[in-house]
Amino acid sequence: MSRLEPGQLGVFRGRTGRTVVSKWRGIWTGRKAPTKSSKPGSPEQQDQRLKFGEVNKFLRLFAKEIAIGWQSDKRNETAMNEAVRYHLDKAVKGEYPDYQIDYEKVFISRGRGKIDGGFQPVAKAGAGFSIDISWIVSTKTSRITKPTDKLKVVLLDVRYRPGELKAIHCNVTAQRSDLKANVAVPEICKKHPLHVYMFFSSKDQKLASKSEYLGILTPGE
Amino acid sequence: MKKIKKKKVPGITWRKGNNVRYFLNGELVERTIGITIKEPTQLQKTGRQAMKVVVGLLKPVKEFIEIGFNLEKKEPHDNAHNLARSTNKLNAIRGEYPNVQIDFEKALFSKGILPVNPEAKVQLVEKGLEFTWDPAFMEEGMWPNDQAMMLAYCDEKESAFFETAGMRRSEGKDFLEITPYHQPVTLEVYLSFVAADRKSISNSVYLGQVKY
Repeated sequence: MSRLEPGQLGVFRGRTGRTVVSKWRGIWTGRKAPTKSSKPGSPEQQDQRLKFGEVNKFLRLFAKEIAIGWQSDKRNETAMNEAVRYHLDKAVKGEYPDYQIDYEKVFISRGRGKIDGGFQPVAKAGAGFSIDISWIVSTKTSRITKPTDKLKVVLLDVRYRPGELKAIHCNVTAQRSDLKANVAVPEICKKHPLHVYMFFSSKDQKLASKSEYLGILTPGE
Repeated sequence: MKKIKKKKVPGITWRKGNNVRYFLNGELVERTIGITIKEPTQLQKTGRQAMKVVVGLLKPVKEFIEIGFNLEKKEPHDNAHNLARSTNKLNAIRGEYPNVQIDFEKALFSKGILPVNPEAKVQLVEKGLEFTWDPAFMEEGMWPNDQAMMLAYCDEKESAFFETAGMRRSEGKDFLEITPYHQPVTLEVYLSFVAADRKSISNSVYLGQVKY
């Protein structure tokens, strides 16, 4: 893919013959139109493609949270780019072709602005189909952390359907100063083991804490 | 980026090609803009990573360095964060790209001429850290009503606990509450003193690591 100077080809976009011209984040780019290759990939290519595909498929489940928690000021990278790069390196275990995601090492938010993540967060099965989450706060950290920071909770159901994962984006209205929250679990996830993730974001969602993995819970058991 | 003497130019701001001229903090400056496509050199990569690491270091301690470097301001465009950043980028960085790290022994979170008790130490107590110093030790420049500023930095959690208005020097000790995490962490501990009228401050002194 090449970068084009304005004026070389005018201001048209799209595919022309074998060239595709587009503008991405203010940069005019030109590239050869893709064609399918008939060659099978080399072992290294197949390895990378499988790993990349697994990580992408997994992180798409958390797209909303990643957009809040992973955004950086880098102009040419999206939040998802950054999250994929990190997880490709740190959160994949196993060998080709049996790659798996290490759920304990997943960060659905890596933290922007360094607000606190809540000290000693604990999750346990609550009444009915629900999860109780509690945490404590500190008065000795930066004031960038506010008592009005919003709690975000995501549950990962690894037994939703055979071969399919499901992320449940919980509708939580709790804020940091509440020190606890009760999260309702959909009945379809009854008796499924759920991986619990939480983080805090500022009211304007411009800042976020590093996410915490709270373990596996099976509500309703 | 260069500064333009106002005598030469009557204050016109413009863009000509890739050069721009504009006012920045009351000064007329001129620089080149645009994106470079050249591969950065090893030195550039090291510098950029050093900047990233230092900015990350200072984010959790914003209020502390706003007091700590406030008295270092000399030019109208100086601010506490810029001064803290440049001081630590020059002195508290070790290693080369891609392994640039902070040297916590040399990191500074406050800068000034007020003396710090050289015998000050810290110990782990219930619910936090206890800082102690000799209240009878008085050098020139020290006053009994100088206030302690305590900082415990946790690199693993990218967080810090601090107090900017602690006990007076004459008390001889102070306590900093630390909220525990699930797992033990390592804290880098610093102590400074600030005059009661906030017109003088000391350099922050590194008191070592504490496992909490």
